[in-house]
Amino acid sequence: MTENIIELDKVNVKFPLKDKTIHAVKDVSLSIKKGDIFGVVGYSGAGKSTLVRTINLLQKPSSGIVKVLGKEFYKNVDGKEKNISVGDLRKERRNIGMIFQHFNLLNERTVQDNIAFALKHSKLKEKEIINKSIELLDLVGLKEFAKSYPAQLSGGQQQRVAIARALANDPEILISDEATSALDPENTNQILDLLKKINQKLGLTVVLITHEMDAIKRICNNVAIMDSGELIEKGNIMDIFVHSTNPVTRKFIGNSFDAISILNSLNLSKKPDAIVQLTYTSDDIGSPIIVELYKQFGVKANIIYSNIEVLQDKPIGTNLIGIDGNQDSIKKALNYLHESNIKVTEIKEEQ
Amino acid sequence: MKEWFITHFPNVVQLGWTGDTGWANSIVQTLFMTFWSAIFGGILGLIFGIALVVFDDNGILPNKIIFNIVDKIVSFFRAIPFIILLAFIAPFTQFLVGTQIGTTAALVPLAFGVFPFYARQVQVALESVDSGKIEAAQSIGATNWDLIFGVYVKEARSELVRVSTVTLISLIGLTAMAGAIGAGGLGNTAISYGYNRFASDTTLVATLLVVILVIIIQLIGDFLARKLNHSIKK
Ligand SMILES: Nc1ncnc2c1ncn2[C@@H]1O[C@H](COP(=O)(O)OP(=O)(O)O)[C@@H](O)[C@H]1O
Ligand SMILES: [Mg+2]
Repeated sequence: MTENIIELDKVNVKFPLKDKTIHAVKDVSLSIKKGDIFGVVGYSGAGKSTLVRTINLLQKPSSGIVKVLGKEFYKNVDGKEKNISVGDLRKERRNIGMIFQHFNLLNERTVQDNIAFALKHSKLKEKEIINKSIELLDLVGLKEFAKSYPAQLSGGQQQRVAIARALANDPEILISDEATSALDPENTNQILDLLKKINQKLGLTVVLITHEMDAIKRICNNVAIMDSGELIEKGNIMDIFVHSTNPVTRKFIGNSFDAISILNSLNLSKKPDAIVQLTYTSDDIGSPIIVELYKQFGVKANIIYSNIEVLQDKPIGTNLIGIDGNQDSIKKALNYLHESNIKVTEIKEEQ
Repeated sequence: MKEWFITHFPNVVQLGWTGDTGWANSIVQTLFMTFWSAIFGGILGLIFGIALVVFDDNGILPNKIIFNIVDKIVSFFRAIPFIILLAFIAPFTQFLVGTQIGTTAALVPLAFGVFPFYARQVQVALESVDSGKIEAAQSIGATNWDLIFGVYVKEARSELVRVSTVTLISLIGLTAMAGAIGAGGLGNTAISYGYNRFASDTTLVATLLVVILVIIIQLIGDFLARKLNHSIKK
């Protein structure tokens, strides 16, 4: 078992305002494993930023436990608050890099000095700081811009500098809060791929906050869905995509995996005797199913809908298949399908 | 040319270049007062301005009590018209420099007159720094010192130069009034040797010299502000 690098336990965040209190994060518990790329998705205002900001205590919780890198940063389960010391927090934060939607680079420093600023309290000598800054710029592909000012760079380039800055102190965790939301699709994908590369090359744990499911699909292993301050679902991305029945989750995933809404939109004139949804990865497909169904059970299978999605570079197929034949044969055919590697969901239509 | 000047500006010529009432002396007095009160008032204003941002509710060290004390002090001194401040602060001036009149004595009310104005301007300039930059710096483990001087002041430096220019120019206005406590300077020349003696040529020349001084400060300020600003593409 790999260790949990981030553990949140029943974390609550409340903002007391003049006339009301905003309960931005409600009883959220979450464990993130070392080396994971963990996505947190939800609508704007769901509490994603507030939640992840509790990881490096940029946001102090109202209650709960925050444990990062095996150290307890914050604990309040019985009304008594225990905080990590200010000095220790400062040191620990250097183990947790963070990047933001609006890059937040310092405009009055060159690109290289932005990175050097992060290394101010490291043990490195001035010369070593310069070398390391250049090395990091090389990693993000911007070595030739070392002496430029951030305003002279494009959005995508600025975010790369921000990534280099976040990596300056060799952190073990990188938090990305909507880091691609201000970028065009091409830059978005480049930044996401860079995060993935860093994850693989440096073994960094990445926490990716976004309101775009495409970003999650591209690089995340695990995902949590937030809505109105609550964490409504979490798990392996494939399981969530294929099996989640939660309406909010389904809205995010879109309809490509959702049999009922596909059927509704297809508006079939003649309904088959049975409908099944088959979901499979390229590894799962061995035999020609439709032919087998006909040969072995004498049922006629007909593809109603077919789609391929790519999750973390892996194609995942979804087929809706209508089956016609007598009750008994259909039952046997379904058993056969269930025994295969393919994920099979029988669709019972209400409408 | 010289003849023409002597005919048209007799009083100006009469004051002479050297001597107690001479032009050199009043120019030096104005520069002396402006420079030193800018240093003292500037440091005081910078400290108070930074405190107003740091201890604010949204600041890096929120503290209602300190914020309110600083805020009230600034508001109090800001509310006192300068000519009244000259009198109000006289005992303190006496205590500090041993006299209530003269150019050096004027530095005390000048510094106290200008610092609240500057503190408010510094406050606005520093607050213009995006809180996201502060947060990003905090996330890389910056100390409060780093945040104040490495982020707030450094990021707002162009804006700080701009408000310093404005402050310096209004300070020149205040030095003119310091003539009331015998501080001399160009303002005093314009009023005492010009206006009060119906010597309008003296008033005109003193005014022109002040205007030239203001323009020079403005030009240098604008140049520096532009040079120190990298937040726009250029
Ligand atoms: N500092 C704050 N003071 C008051 N309310 C806040 C503060 N920060 C966030 N909120 C509120 O908390 C809720 C969650 O915000 P946020 O975490 O930014 O959501 P998300 O990142 O998912 O868009 C929102 O209703 C927001 O208005
Ligand atoms: Mg957010």
